[in-house]
Amino acid sequence: MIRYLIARILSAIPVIGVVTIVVFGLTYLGPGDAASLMAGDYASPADIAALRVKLHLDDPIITQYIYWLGNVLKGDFGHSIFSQQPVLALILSRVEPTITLAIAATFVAVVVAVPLGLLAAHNKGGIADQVVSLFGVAGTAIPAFLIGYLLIFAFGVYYGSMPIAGFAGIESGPLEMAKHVLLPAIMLGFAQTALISRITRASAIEALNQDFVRVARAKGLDEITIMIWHCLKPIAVPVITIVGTSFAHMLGGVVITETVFAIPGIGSLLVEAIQHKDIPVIQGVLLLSSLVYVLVNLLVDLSYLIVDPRIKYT
Amino acid sequence: MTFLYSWRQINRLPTPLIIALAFVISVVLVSYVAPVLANINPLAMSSDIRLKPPGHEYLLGTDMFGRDIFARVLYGGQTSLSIGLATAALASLVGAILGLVAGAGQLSDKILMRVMDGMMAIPGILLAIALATIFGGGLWTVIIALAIPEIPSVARLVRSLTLTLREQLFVEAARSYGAGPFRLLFKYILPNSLGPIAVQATYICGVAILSEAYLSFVGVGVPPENPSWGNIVAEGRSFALVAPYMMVYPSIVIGLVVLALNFIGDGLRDMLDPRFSLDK
Repeated sequence: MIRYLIARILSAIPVIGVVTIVVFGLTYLGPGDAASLMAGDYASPADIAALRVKLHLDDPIITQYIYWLGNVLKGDFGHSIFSQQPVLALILSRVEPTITLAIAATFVAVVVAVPLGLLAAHNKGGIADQVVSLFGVAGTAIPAFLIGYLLIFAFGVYYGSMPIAGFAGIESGPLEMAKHVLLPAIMLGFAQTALISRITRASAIEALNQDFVRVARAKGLDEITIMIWHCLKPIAVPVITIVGTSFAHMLGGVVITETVFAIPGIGSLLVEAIQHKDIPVIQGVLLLSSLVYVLVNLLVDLSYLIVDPRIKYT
Repeated sequence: MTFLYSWRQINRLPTPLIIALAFVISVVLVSYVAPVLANINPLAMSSDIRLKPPGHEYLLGTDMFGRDIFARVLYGGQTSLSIGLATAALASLVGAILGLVAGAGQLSDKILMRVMDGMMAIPGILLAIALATIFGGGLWTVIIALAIPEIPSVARLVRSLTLTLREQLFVEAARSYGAGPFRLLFKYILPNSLGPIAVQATYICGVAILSEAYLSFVGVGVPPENPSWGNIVAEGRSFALVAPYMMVYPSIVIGLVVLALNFIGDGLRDMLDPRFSLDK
């Protein structure tokens, strides 16, 4: 058990290693010299020369990488070309809305998708099943911004009942925060909802065919009790897995969601960075998103131990 | 890919697959043929017909420069569909080669799969945005930026197929009469992996069309003088309140095409190997 834990945590290290190499390598893919790319369009030749020395660009590429990695491990992600602020501080100042949004979206997706999937499995072949199954395929095909603008039109403009832009932190009260977060969370979680409902349906159909469900039915339990007590447990592992893997999708989705709803989070930071070709910020966002993704998948793997006691690692 | 021999076999295909295939084929035809026949211009600007709502004269309305949105959506289809196809082809080609090489040897397997795991940890659309920003705008840079994040999924698939196939009797037979590793991989293992690769490529095509729209949306997509479904939507962003149709129609087209591609992918997968079906 402990050995498994240690092995699993250690196995994340090469993954993170590759991520750092890819992120570091980005600066070398662009046209021209890395220093002029990193210094931005308005840098003077003297600035570029200074940056060459600072980034050790005259050293072999492996030495440069080691210097860069050393700085990253110390929390120094470089400075933004545009605002000259340290990248890490810049990212941390924008983290709160994004995290709130991601958690809310995952919550909305699970709360909507699992009952939908169970309903479809229960109603297998019926109208409800066909609607949920179509949603399961279509939900990932519809462009996210279309969902976002439809929500804005429906709830923000037409009914005028919801705020359609900006973010309110916990300091402005839980109700105000929930109002600001709900619509973006639905948009961000839409594709997730489709994916999770699909997996829930497929695993629930399998679970409902098992003998223990037949026994439960034979002893006269009603379908709702069977769904909650006998069906939720066996489908937990595949559902948690898809929540974890689809999290990567969501870390990308915040870029679009935050743009549509004008939320000042990591996604909008990235869009601003794109407009200024602010490479250090782009690298920082990429690196931190990947770290979060690796961490979430680590947690997902460890959660199997709790969810399914049959899984034993030695 | 040995399943389209006769009309009778086409008739036996599942209905959603037929509808989806027919839809995608007609979108391709309309995008490539209609602009030639109908003599419409996606770039013609006219100041007196700016932001006209959809109606008789302009089926889907006009944009802020008085350009016909219907014409732009048709021409945009050429760009978006080409991006989808080219991304799928590029990612499949590179992914298949990497997967074959990984499946063939132990050292190459260890190294390549570690790299693929690492690449998969970077959210795909973020990597595509970063690559497109650094490469600079353009059709090919967008295709390359979209293809790179999709490579690991193909590589993993082909690797696992290679590992299974190389234990099969027909591969062993080929090996026994002296076929070299190159010949084994490309003559025996690759042809037997083409079906699953085609399924994966169909999904990638859909993801690429969607991601192209997202890239345009954040401002690193195909430049606007070359209309694509994504950049029509992106240009409509500033006019979302006065001219919502500028965004809505191309978005619906994107959604329908991606949906049809997903149906085709699911249908092909179910036909190739019903065991993996999610819709039993």
